[in-house]
Amino acid sequence: MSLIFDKVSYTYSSHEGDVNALSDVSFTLENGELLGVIGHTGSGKSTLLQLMCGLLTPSAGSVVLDGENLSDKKVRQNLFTKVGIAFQYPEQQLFSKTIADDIAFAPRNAKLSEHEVGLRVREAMKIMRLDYENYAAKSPFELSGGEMRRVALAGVMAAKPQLLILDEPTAGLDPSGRYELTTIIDDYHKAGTTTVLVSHSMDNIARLSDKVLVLKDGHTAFYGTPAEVFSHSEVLREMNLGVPQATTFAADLMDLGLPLPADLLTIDALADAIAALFHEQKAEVKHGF
Amino acid sequence: MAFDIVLGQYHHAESIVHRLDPRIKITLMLILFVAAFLANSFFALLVLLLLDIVIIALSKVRPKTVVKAVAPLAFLLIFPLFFNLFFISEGTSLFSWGAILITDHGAYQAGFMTLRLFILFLTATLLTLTTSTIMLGDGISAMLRPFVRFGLPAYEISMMVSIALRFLPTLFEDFDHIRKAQMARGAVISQGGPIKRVKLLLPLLVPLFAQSLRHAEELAVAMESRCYHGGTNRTHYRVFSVGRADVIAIAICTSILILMIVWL
Ligand SMILES: Nc1ncnc2c1ncn2[C@@H]1O[C@H](COP(=O)(O)OP(=O)(O)O)[C@@H](O)[C@H]1O
Ligand SMILES: [Mg+2]
Repeated sequence: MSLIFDKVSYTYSSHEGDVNALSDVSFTLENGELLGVIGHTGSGKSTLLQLMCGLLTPSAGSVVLDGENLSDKKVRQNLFTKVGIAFQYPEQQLFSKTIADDIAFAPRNAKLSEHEVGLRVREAMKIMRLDYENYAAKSPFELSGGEMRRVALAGVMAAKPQLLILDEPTAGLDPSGRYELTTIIDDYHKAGTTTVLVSHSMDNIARLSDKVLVLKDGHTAFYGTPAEVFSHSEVLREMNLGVPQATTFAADLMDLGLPLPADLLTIDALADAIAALFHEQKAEVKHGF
Repeated sequence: MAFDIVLGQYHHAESIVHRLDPRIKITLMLILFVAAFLANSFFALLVLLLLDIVIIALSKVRPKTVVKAVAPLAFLLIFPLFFNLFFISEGTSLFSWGAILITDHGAYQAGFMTLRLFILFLTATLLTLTTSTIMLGDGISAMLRPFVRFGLPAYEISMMVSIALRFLPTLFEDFDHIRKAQMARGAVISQGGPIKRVKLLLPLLVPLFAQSLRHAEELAVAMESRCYHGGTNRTHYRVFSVGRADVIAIAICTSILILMIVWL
């Protein structure tokens, strides 16, 4: 599913005055791509996501999904069958007696047959690595935080969205939970779902994204491929956002005189580059004698 | 995150009303309450309304904010309006149609009761708008302290009031988050008969309840980890003292109350 933001602005109005949460944001996400969104708290990330799924409509500009403008009320109807969103701490939305019932909420609202609903639930649980026999009949309230998170995300995936939006999905999880969930998201996206991911982990953003959008006070600070965006490491550090660990480490090595390429974003790429350098030098040493 | 809830919330400003001793402000509110109940003419109520308006002007809180703060209570005004208008049959008829009869007496009572209730809401709102929850809590506990020897849990009551006011916006924010999350899963909020409606509300109410319990648990841990053990032997950082403005404020309000009793 393709997603186009064209000069989108959004203003919250309250009794204390207006807050311009988003100003003049434009980007294009092609079908099957993953957009990584980074920015400080209050920079407008959550507002951006709510505009993508029709919960908010732009104050100015347009949001176009597969050629259809979301400012049109008819287009927004039943959008939940196409666009799935998991807000921060999605486990807070769990309410049913059993996990299976909770995951079935969206498919049932889409008025699918009970047979189809059952299939969707099993499929979503499989994606989220929740064993059906073990979990289906349990109450969502007796799970650990990490398990609740996965149940909630399964509830979003059960609608089989063509555009999946995730607001800091790994916030508050332990390292192994973060790693597992990131892997699941990566796999799911690679299987063909257009994805938007908000994350504070520059490593994950660099590794997973096709495009990266950096927001600052509601404005676009940077937009482009991960290599383009993370080449502005100085500015990003000044914004307290930082760059991937591999990029920092490569920069340190380059300061020490190692001739590494400039756009190393992931640990794997860095390791390969160092290995290549090592082999090159070994070859040179051999020739020398 | 900012959220547009003003009901029961504090709005900071540098004003004489904000600086008044919270005990005095609570007393003033009670005096005005009594005055509103004793008032038995429109004129008397208008005097009280005028007094509230003067307080708003002195407090430097924006009128728009005051309106926002009272607005959520406005639907409660429907009840006195409705019952007095339609259920009082004394007096001369102004309008009648089938079983509906509106009399001049009923219309007068409707207007009077509605205005009285409005003044009560407005006065209470002015107290919460200009007094921080901490000050309010301290004020309530200081005023109730004499009753502790009769077994009144004064400190606990003031703590409950403070916490309730503090968590009101959080409750609305949580509700907003949950509502959006369920709408994104295709939840229909209102449709069908009463039983169906309650069923449709469950996806909102169950998470809201669970979330409130989580907040309560976290707050309890936070309080216990700071050695909170209730009010006994607790000293206060702020020591209240009654100043000149406090005396003047009490004097004005008491005079109005007496005037109300004697003349109006
Ligand atoms: N419901 C709301 N009402 C008023 N202001 C809001 C609301 N939601 C967010 N804002 C404001 O909009 C700005 C962007 O917020 P948000 O999109 O939540 O940022 P982020 O997700 O990056 O932390 C912030 O200044 C925030 O205070
Ligand atoms: Mg956010």
